Amino acid sequence: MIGIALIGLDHMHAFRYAQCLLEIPNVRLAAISDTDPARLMEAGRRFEVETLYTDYRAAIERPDVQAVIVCTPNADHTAPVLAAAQAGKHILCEKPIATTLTEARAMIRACRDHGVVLQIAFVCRYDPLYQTARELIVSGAIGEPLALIGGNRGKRPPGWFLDPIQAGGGAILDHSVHVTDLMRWYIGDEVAEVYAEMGTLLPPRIPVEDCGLVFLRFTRGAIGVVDPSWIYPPSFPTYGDMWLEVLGTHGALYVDDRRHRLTLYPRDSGSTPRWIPFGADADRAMIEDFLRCIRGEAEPLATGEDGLRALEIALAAYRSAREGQPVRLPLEEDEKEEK
Amino acid sequence: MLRIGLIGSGYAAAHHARALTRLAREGVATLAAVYSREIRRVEELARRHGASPCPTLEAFWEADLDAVDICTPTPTHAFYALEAIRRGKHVLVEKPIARTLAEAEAMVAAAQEAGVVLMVAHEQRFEPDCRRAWELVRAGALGRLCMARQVIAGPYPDWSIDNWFADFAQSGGPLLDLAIHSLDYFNWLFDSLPFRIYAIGARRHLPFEDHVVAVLRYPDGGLAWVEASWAMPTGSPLIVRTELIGTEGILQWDSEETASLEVWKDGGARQAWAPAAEDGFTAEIRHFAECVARGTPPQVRPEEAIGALRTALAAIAALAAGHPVRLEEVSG
Repeated sequence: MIGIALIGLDHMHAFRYAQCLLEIPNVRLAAISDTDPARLMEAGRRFEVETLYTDYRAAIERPDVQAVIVCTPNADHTAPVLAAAQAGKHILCEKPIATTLTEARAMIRACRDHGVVLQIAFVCRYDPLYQTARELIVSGAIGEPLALIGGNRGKRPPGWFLDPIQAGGGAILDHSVHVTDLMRWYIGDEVAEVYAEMGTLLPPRIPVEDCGLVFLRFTRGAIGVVDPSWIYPPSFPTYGDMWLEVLGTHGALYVDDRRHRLTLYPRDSGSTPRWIPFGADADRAMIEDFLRCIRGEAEPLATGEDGLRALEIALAAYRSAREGQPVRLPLEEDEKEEK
Repeated sequence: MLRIGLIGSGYAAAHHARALTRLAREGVATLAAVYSREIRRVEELARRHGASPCPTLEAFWEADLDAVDICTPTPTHAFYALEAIRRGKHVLVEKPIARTLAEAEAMVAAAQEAGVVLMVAHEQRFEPDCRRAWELVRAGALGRLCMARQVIAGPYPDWSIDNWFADFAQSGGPLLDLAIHSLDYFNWLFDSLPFRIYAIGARRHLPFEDHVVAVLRYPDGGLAWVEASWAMPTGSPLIVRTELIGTEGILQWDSEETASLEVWKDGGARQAWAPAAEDGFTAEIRHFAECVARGTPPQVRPEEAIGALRTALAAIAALAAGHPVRLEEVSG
């Protein structure tokens, strides 16, 4: 039986992960920590956990906790990850890995030094849709990839997601990382140059960008374009979208998660049609794989290094938008404005 | 009934000729003469549509024409347009208006001086879906437009005469020949010109980028991007996807989803489209004929067609430079 502590209920995914832990055999949600006592109590009731802490260190230190899932705000990933690593606890960390390169590098180093798993929650890597697309690309079904154009657009998130310090950015950091991670994973290449356009365009005005586009040049010559904008109004019938067009030397491939759905038209006149996705539960697959990694049966599909690379691309996008010019990677260090 | 002479015998010319046949039945306009350097194709086109084939350009100019419809390769637009204007003919010319800004400006100035109508066939403005969306945007249904996206992607159009699309000096590649549909549509939607353009692209079959993405920044912050491709696998359909994102709502449509009529043939060939209202070719020629008859300016104003060309040339410059280009940097 593996005991897991959930650190932070700030990211809405925390509730999904807790639910998965209840459903998966041979694992238990051993503790929850959160800075908000009311939210913590509520989660304790909902998931039948009595070991609740407002200090994450107390949760990490419990002897029945072998691993942690970190769902604090983006800027607050580093402290619990470093504490968990020092305590020899394995880590599944929500994306983006951190808000600065310095912190991301420190997290990766600490986990390596203490011999613990650091897995980043790039959930698409655990989804059969994106896995199948990767298998096709890697097997040469469309030849050598030349251009990858994709998006992960969503509804505007609440609370700390809109805080430049706690979130480290807006839509670009929140959503581009999923798509850039897939692109890197698909073609096995790194980004050499980033250009971005962005802005806060939709009402009501927020202190971070809600719209943007990120343009990538990979080292071997492929190009990438990412739309991570928070464009969808509450009326959009699902969470948002995730899609990717890949053009290769011998063919093209398109994936779009909006398409695997059923449409439900409710009988009552007040209701609007609803989309019912029939996709796999990638959150659960990701946590099951985390458990395999903890047991030493597998290596993480998305590592701390993958988290760092996706963060670096997003930070380069912010620099590009400030400077109005393409930015070369790797970025050597963080900029002063960033923290 | 407007007597129109058609110059050209390729893809666009065939569509325009078909549209003119429809308009002739209504007494709006008729295809009176056809000229092209491709004699055999001219004869076939003229025979199919009951028009006179002209073996030479001289014979074409001697025909009794009110207006000229130019459907030739882009670099020849200016020559034919200036010749027509000099003879007092009204001019409808395929997009893009010309290959260079200097040519385009000369055409517009000449038409103004001669007092003839010069309209560029930016067909998307007349397509029922794009037009309906523009009306919704104008009526405020989306609030203020913030972001726009269009994908126009298909296989390489290998049917161009002498394969002129593959010659960048003539066609300007997919940014000038294909993306210009979207660039004009964006400019029309945002009712302004972008100030900054960046573009990125990949090469699949051609010695220049045949799969391109351009992003435009408008003065009010608006963001628009187009993906234009001549590099999709052979046999794949021409896909047009459009998204308009406003402060009050979003419009999305996709040619695959709006296709209300599909035809399949043995061997896998499939055609799908939406004959929901009058097609863009017929609607644009109808509008042109109305402008000539009433003496009103065309809804595609000549300076807007120059603006679309300038936007495309800026995207081409940005693609070559690898960094963003400001619209005013583009000249010539």
